[in-house]
Parts: sequence; C-alpha cells; structure tokens
Amino acid sequence: MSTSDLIKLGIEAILIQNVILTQFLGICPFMGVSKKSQSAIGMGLAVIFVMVISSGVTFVINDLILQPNKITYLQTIVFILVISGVVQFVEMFIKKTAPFIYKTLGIYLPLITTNCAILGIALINVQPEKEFGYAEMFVYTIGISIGFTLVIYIFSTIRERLENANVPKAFKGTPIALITAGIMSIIFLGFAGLV
Amino acid sequence: MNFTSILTMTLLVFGLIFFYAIGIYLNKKTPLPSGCDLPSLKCEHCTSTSCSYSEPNRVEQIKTEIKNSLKNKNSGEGAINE
Repeated sequence: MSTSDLIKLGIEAILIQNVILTQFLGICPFMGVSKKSQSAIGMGLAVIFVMVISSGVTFVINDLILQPNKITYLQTIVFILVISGVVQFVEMFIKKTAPFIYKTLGIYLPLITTNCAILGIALINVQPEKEFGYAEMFVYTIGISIGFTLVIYIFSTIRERLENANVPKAFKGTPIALITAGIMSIIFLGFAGLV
Repeated sequence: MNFTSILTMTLLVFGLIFFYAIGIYLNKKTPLPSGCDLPSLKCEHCTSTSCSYSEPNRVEQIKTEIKNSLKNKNSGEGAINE
C-alpha cells in the first residue's frame, strides 16, 4: 500500500468510518465522560494510548499464533484477556515512570478495559476481508482513536453549552444529548463520499 | 483438531489469564505517585448497577426523583380539581 493510500485510510478511519458515529462503538464513554471537555480530552488520549498498544499486540498474536494454528475462533476471548492485561501493565508502567501522565490519564485507564471500541477495533483489524498488514493496521487504529477523541471532544463542548441553554424540561440531560449525538451522526454521514 | 492446536490453545488461554492476574497483582502493589489523588468519575445516564461508570445509589436516586415528581403532579391535579 502506497503512502497516499495510507493517508486515505487514515482520513477514512477518522471521518468516514468514525468509531462512535458510524460504527456505534464506545457509546458508553461517549455519553458518560463527555460532560466536561477536560475529561473528554483525558478519555480520548487514554483511548489513543491503549487502543494503539492493544491493537498492535492482538494483531501480532493473531498473526503469529492464532492463524497458523487455525484457532481464530479464540479471537474474542484472547483479545479480551490481552486488552485487560495490557491495561493493567500500562497503568503500572505509567504510575512508576510518568506521574504527570498518570494524573491526566490514570482515572480513565481502568474504565477503558470495558470500552467496546477497543475490542471492536482489535477484531476489525484482523478480519480477513480487510487484508490489513502491519502498516495499515497501525494507521487505521491511530485514525480510529483520533476520530474517537475528536468526536467526544466536539460533543463535550456542545454539552457544556447545552448546560446553559434554555432546553425544555423534558429534554434536559440525556434526551438532548442523544438528539445531539443523532444530529452529529447524520452530519458525519456527509463525509461518506470524501475518499 | 490435532494435538498441537489443543496444546497451543490451552497454553495461550491459561498464559493470558496468568498474564492478566500478574498484571492486576503488580498494579495493585505499585504505589500511587506522590500527590496524585484521582477524582472519582461517575456517569448518571442509566440505571445499570453493573457498569463501572455507574454512580452508586443511582437506582435509589431515580426512585426518589420519580416519587417526588408523582407527588408534585398529584398535588397539582388536586389543586386544579379543587
């Protein structure tokens, strides 16, 4: 795959196949951690960090162990265990080596273990019809996680403004947030013909 | 399915469970960096009690909210009827 194809794949992952608004993965943190833009950025950074590491590890395990031994039906359970284990080790590593990063991301790391977007992307990367190599997997995963961060940040800024807006009582809180998410999803569908 | 596949499968799954258990053990053993108190982060969008984001006692809060709103509604209707 040439460099321009990789750039196209990255743009596609960020905008066209957006993990939240198009693939509907990771909706839980999207709704739960988007009240403040600061927490949304923290969650986004943690997702980028964990998604890239766990997707890399799961891709290698699939390539070197699962496929040669024809035990690809174990993908889901193996990937869940890998993600959970990787998150624990990443958290421990950050605690020891980078207290500043731990202050920013620490609270979000354990929550990411239950984020279906991480498992979803790890599984999408190894789908035979995708025919991803290591470079494509890396670009796609980075693109998807940047797309996640972008959308959750935009959504959090809208929600911050909605807090002060004159919203009818019945729509306050979750209902208006869901309507906003729906409109954002429709907007992102407009990127479909971009690449 | 041959013997090698079964052996690989068993080693892989148990190895990963061991990896996860070791990860949890070492992570709990590692002390927090000094001056690093993490704030709590809770979600109040649904009544799930099993979700790690969910705020504790959320179900009770919602029950109380519904009871109060019903009470207010009933008293309001009474006032109209009167």
